[in-house]
Amino acid sequence: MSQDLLAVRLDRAPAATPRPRRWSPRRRLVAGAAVVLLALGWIAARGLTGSFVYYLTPTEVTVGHKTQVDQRVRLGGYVVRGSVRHVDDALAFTLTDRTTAMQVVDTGSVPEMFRPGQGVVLEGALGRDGRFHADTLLVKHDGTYRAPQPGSGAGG
Amino acid sequence: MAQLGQAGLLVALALAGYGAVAAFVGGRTGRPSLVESARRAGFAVLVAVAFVNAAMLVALLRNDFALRYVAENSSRETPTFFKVLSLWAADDGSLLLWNLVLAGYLTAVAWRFRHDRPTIFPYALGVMFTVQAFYLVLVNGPARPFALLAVAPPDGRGPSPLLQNHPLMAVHPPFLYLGFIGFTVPFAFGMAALLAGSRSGEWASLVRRWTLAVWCFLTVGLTLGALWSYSVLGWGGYWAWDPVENVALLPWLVATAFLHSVMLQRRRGMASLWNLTLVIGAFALTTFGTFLTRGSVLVSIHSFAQSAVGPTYLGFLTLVLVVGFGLVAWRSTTLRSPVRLDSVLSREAAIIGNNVLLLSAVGIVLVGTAFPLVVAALGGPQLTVGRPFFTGSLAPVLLLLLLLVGTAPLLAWRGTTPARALARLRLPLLSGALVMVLVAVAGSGGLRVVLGCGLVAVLLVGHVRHVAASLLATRRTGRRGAVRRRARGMAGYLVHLGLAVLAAGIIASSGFARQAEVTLATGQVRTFAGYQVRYDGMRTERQPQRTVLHTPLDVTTPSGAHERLDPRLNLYPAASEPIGSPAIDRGPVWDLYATTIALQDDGRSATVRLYHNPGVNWLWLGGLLMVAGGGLAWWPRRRRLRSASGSSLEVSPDACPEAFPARGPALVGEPR
Repeated sequence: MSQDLLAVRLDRAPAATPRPRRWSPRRRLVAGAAVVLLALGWIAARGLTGSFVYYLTPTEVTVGHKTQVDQRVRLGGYVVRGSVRHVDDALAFTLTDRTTAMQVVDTGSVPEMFRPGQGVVLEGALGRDGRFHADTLLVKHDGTYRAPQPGSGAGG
Repeated sequence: MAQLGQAGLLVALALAGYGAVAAFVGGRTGRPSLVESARRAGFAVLVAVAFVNAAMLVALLRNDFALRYVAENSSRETPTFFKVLSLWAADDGSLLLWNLVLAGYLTAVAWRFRHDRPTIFPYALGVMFTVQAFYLVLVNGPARPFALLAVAPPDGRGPSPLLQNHPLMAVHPPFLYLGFIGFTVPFAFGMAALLAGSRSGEWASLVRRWTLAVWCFLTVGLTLGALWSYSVLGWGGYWAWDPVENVALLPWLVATAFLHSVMLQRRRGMASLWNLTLVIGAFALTTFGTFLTRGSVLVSIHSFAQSAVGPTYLGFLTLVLVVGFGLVAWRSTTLRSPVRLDSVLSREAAIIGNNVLLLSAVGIVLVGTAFPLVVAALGGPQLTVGRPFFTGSLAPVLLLLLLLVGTAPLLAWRGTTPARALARLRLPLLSGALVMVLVAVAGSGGLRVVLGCGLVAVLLVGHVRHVAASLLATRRTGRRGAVRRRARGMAGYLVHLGLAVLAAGIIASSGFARQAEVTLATGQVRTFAGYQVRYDGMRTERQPQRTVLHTPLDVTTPSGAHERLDPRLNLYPAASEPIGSPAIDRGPVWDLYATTIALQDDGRSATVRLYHNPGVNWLWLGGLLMVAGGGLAWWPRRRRLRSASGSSLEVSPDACPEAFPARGPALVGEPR
């Protein structure tokens, strides 16, 4: 074992004898790093365009037509009191931003904090039936949630 | 209390301002007495800031609701333990703690250099005082922790329920603060070297151990944060790519890169400018993080108060970036290192590769975190960057990093031949290939999981063999102290082993987790992942500050053992909705994790989400190993060096002087 270790310690010696090559180690390293960076950057850029989700309000969806059918968006607003119904395995309710109301069907799980009247964030897509089909329902954790106004800071 | 606290803050600010001026002027004009007086002002700042924190603590404990901060973050019913935690549970109070920790670092630096004063010390002290003065300005104007209410309410609102739901809240933020704020020290010495135009590379040796300590604190903070997220938030995961988690990860990644590339500077005299860029970058990222989370720019769980400090942070961040990188650019011709790379198959090249990968990760996380902000600032739509972006883009980085960590430590400094490298790598690579084949044949998991498992195996086998071989060889030579002198190299390997365990945990938990949502009536049994789960009916417990709804589950494990899980819902008067506490049956390989989603018919039936999570506990073990390795590398070795008659050979870092080429300025001495 000590033989092996000795060999290892000496193994930098051959590097000292220059052998013919076209590129210096520095250039080869830079080229390698550039290839890796380009590959990672390409993966990240593809991931970025594929995974960001627009954040909209019912007004922007129904009046502003800012989303197409089946495009994944986040929808924020308040649950209208008295509108919550259980339909089969789904939860149906009306969501409002105090200006416009729209029908929502949530097929995902409902967190324990879910209560009518409170602010929620839904993730899903507008369906052909004009209702919003959500598979994720998030409840704002603190009591001070404000439904985001168009143009204000990122909510959620 | 309010007046005392306010006065204390003003005194501290005046002292910090004096210290900054005295240190800079003393350093510039070469007057040691002035530097000495600045050094002493550091201790005075600590006393003043500690007094201010004590004043706020007394106000919290005495229910002094005339103070707005106390009224908003404490109440009569809040248990004393959580009253103390309220000191840092909200924005203004946590800025007081921030100042305390910063003053602690300032004092530590002042105390550490009480005898030996490096030439750049006065400037470093001045930079630290300047940063301290900024944070004191922040609590003297834009934020007002001691603001009074016109009429004192009879009772306070109490702390945010989420923050008083678990005692981990007591330790997680202080460790993160120790980590975050600690980057001021390497930043100060880096800036000092730039200001002084010092070519010696002395600063890098001075801050290596400081950075190591800070890195350890931040590792503990991140691990505890993940543990908190997993144990408290009840979503079955440990890392949500929340902006606040991200901004804590960013400086950690940069610090990890620096701790590697600083070896290039100390051993080979390479990368001197690059290392300066890294310490300035790490500090700028911590400032960016505080700006993001406290400047009310982002809305997340963590962004507590709507505060007016955002523009102040932005101004400071701009100053740091402009002055820091401006100085780097200005000094670039003087400080550029003349040493060139010898070979691509060398430890140097591997360390550069490490930096490339870690900074790619920084770039990816930064883009994912800041992209929504930039889009919104340019008047674009509101959007968020989802989890798939982070996992999808970072997975290849992690895999490449594992490959590098697994192979690079087996490469020699200055270069080796492909044949030799291959000979050393044969066993690890073969084991990795074997594991990949096994995992692929078992058919579980996709390409990433297969590759990840194989690369973890490469890392583990290579490192264990190398450590064992080194220890054996050192023992055979029988030199006294040889093992201890190898300790630092071993410490690095320990951190790498921690990374392997951590990576195994990440791969297992992201590749093999299962979850299900079940609704159970009292007494009903359902099967999930081999477990039999029975709901035993709701029980209500009233505590002074909250009402707890217990929803106990009786679990029969696949081996036939019985476990009781008690997921709860906590009702706080201050919160409009209940906050869940998940219950976890932790095991060496699998966790069974249960969280109650909803109750029906007054608790006669419950909807419970169950998670079967593999490898989550490996994450904590991996974090622990990394911190242990970091601590071992940090451990002082001065006493032994003094007894070792001070010969420069004995002092060399890794006790393999043949690995030391005779060039570069960072050769001699084992500085702290």
